[in-house]
Amino acid sequence: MQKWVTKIMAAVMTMMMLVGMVAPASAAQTDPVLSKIEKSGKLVVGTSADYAPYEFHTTVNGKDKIVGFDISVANEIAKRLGVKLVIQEMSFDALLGAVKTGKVDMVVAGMTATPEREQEASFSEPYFVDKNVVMTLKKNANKLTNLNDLKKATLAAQLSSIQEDAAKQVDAKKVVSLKKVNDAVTQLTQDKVDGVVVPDTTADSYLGESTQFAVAKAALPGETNGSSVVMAKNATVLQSKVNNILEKHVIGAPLDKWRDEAVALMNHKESFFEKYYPYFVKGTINTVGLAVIGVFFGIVLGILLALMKLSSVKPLKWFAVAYIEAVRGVPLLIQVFIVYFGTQVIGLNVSSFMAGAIAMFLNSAAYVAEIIRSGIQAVPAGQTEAARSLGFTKMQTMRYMVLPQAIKNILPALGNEFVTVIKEGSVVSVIGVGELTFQTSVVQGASFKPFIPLIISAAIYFILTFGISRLLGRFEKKMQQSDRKLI
Amino acid sequence: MAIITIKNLHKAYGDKTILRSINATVEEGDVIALLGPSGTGKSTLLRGLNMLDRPTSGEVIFEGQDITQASESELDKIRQDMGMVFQSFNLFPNMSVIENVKIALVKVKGVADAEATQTAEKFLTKVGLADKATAYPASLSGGQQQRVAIARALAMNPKIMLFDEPTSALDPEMVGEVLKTMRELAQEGMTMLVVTHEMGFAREVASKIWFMADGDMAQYDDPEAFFEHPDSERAQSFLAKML
Repeated sequence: MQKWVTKIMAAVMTMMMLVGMVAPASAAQTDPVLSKIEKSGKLVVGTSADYAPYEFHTTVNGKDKIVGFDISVANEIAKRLGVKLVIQEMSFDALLGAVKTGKVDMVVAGMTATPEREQEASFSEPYFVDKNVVMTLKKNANKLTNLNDLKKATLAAQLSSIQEDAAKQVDAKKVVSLKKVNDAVTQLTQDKVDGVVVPDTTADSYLGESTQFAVAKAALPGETNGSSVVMAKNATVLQSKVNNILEKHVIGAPLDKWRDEAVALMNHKESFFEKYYPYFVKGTINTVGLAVIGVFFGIVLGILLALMKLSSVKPLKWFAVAYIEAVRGVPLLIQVFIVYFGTQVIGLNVSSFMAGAIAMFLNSAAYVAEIIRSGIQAVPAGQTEAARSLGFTKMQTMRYMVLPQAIKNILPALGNEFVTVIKEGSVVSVIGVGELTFQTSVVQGASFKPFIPLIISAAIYFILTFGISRLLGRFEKKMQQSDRKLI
Repeated sequence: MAIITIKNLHKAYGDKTILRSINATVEEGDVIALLGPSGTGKSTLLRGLNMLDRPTSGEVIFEGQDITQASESELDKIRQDMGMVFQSFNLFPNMSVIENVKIALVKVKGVADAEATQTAEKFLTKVGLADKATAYPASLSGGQQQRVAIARALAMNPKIMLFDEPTSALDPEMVGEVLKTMRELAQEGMTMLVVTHEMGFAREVASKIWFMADGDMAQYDDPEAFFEHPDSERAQSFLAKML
């Protein structure tokens, strides 16, 4: 026994040595990620554009653009690699997953290397160094003067960020982790938290924008954090190329210039409405579009599932039951992530809008199926008997008699489903689909006004859902009236 | 000539026996009134003839074929030849009157739309409802709905008409118009099997009486014999209640 163990070990070691000898030779030329970039002629960079002046949305010549010095860095890298830059937006906590699964080629989002993160992906040399500060309200600035004050305070920070770690390290009374910096700042303005941990560049931006903020005197312990470009583990050649580009063409004078440009863009004054209404318009269109796609395909698939569930063929029935129960038992947010990353894993490269729409309709179909099933079962058995007695087949009976009546009965319920989908569509903002909730946080990030955009989008959501409910109500009444007129 | 021959027909739901062992024959041109107390299996027998409710055992021979053994697709064809009228009309509420009458012609028989419309109009005229062609079922009275249902079944040109208590769900003033239509049909020589509680209709129109009680059936080839000299106690007590 010991003999063959030794043999296997010897074989494994030989293999490893062989690989070790072969690998560097080929790796010196290219790696999977780099060859993909070169082949497609595109560098897909993931970022979370709510982080001025690193990356944020602004209106340039009436057009929405993502700008910031991180974007300038990404641009420079793409230029030096000789490919086109494509920016892919998503929430900060989705970035690492995206680079790992290959959704994006790299992440440039002011991300700092930590031991945990370095297990998941490779980090370039830091190209920008920023220290963390605690931003607070001016009226409270004197309450946070030393580390002891911080220990007694409630601090907010962006989820999965290095600032979140910093807040935890000072052992604050409570650390509130939020998806977006905007949300953290909103909590601050509402006095829900005592301070927000942010890089001082970000704090400067907020201070420039509003006089209600101040930087607390209390300093955070630990080192400063450097922003790195993040790549997949296997992108070894790309990593050295990026390091080279950063060193020669980014760090120093170029970055300083980009930073000043970004701050200038950020402080470019225009009226709030003029500057940001296109975001709300675009977001509303996308929200309604998603809902229409979601409900339309949801109904198509829902009818199929309902028929399968009512079928006498056992495997079809089981499949439908399993699908409906599984989808209804898992949060939509998780399903969105599964579709977004899952399509990548099985080798399909779908846009975030497509992924969002697919997740929405796969989810909606389960609910629609149950609505349709109840509608079908509510059609009197006599209808089926009458049809069958005339010689209609089972399928024909379903098509000409049962389904038309079922659908008329369930129209109100389907309308409610549409309203639900409009609201639940906000979930797909996490994968960067530019629907209303996403655009709202974009505006929050770009305008440094955390609260007003929320109210505006709440109003838009309400108008949409209430309007549709009323419209459906009228439609229903009309249908009842036409029924009554005949009597 | 026999249209339908029923042999040893048995039907049970679980432990409950509905039809014990029915043997009977329907001849061409017969107008049979199927009488008997409620819950004795009259409707079950009727629905067992076109397999809307498959019998547990026994045979139903229709045009030489035992249709209890027929496949679903064979049955779809066979049912076209057996018109059925239900107690609760069962018109399709999402279609106008004329659509109700012609849809099976178009979708089942594949008749061209114009021809189907003509046929439908002919049968609506026959039941006296040509003027209601474009109305929807909800706007019709019960009697009118039932006459449309009769036209719908007739349009398929069936070899036999099965009526399952066609007047039981109607207001008393509506019963007459439906019975009148059925009487005309009988006079034209249509073969009919009618489950009914209308004793007057049975006596005047029917050529034969089938009397069912407790899952058994007695046949009378002369209606007068049944009404004047019922030979069983059950028939006597039934008539005593009904007349």
